[in-house]
Amino acid sequence: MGLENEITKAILIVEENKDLELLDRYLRGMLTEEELAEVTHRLKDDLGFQEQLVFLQTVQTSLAAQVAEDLRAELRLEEELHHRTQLPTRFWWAAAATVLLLLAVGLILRQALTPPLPSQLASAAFSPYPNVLHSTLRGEGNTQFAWELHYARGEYPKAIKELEALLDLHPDSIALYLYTGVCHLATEKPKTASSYLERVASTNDPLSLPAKWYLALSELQLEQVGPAKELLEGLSLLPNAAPYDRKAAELLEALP
Amino acid sequence: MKNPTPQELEWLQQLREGQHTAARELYRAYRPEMLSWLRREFGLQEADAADVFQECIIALVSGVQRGKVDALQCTLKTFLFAIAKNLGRKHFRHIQRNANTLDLSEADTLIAEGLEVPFAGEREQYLMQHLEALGDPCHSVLYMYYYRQFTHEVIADRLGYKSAEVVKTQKSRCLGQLRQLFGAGKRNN
Repeated sequence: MGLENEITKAILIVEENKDLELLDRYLRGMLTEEELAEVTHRLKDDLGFQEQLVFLQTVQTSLAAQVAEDLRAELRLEEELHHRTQLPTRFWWAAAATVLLLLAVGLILRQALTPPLPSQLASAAFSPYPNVLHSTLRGEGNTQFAWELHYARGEYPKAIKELEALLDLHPDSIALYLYTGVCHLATEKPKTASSYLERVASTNDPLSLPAKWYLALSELQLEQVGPAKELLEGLSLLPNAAPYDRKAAELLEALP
Repeated sequence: MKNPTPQELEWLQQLREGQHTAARELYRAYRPEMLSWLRREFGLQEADAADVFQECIIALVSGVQRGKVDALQCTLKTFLFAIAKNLGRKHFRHIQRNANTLDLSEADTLIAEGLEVPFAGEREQYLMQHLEALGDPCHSVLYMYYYRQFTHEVIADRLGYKSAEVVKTQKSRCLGQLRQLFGAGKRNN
């Protein structure tokens, strides 16, 4: 009796698998004419077969809807980030314009007034590097997005905390070093900033250009005019280094 | 007739490989133009226009990943406008103002019209919860087979199974488990 049951079970499994294969191919439109006729016929009369098809269709739709839902959440975050960065962007444009104006005025009055300190020039020339990553690493909680949000809001100490945690996970990420360095510079810790930025500046990565620029600003913050000038001169002479060649030349001109 | 730009081809390839970063890049790249057109065409507020554009990207990604969008005969941007026009017509027929403010004669309109935003009804929502609960490897196997439409051979290769037959058995077992969960949950409700 036991053996008979086992055999019946095995036969049922084989039949079910055959049906599954047939329905899978039906859903993909891969049946022969003969098979299609068989499926159409069975779908009319066989309730179990009908149910199996409906179930597979639901699995398909559910998976597609799940992907759509995940993507929708990501795009909503993108939209939110867009709005959050609008204000800071406008602010930094205004700040950049102010810096240029200050530099121009500074040049005119150079002879008459005491020249600004290098650290003051560095502060005036600083603007955070734009977030070009907008990463979508998943499965790591919200850490990946969290630093971007803090960074966009100018909450640099919070961004540093998230970035340092991410660096533990991705110790070879050049970009994370750059953003951590920029955050430290923004919180007026130029020495710490330098240790991160030097790591990026010494590579051949395209991010080495902004890293050199921020490294020069760190040196100026530390009143190390010599090394800062060396970095700025290097940047100003580099081909294809826009906008850092121009910014470096302007800052060099303003330095004593 | 224009074809997709190299950047657009790269995005399409990334989407085919399941990388959603490309969708976010696409969104950023075409957001200003698309939102301004949607606002003009359908008289939408910015937030509504953003919602429609998001649905267009979802329809595109879903179409690409399920193999419904192969070689485009127009730029991806034009194609997105065609999807937007189609979705906008469906949802905002009552407030449509100017139907022909953009020349979409070169767009693959038939393909665009075939793309839909996957919708989860009550039954699908319910199954989605159980799919999550199943976890891996079942979730990956079912996702690759029923969503990405990969063959058993490709799945075996990607997930490191010994053969396509092993994947078939695993898939059948996973469906059985899912069916049990689904059935038990329905009975409890």
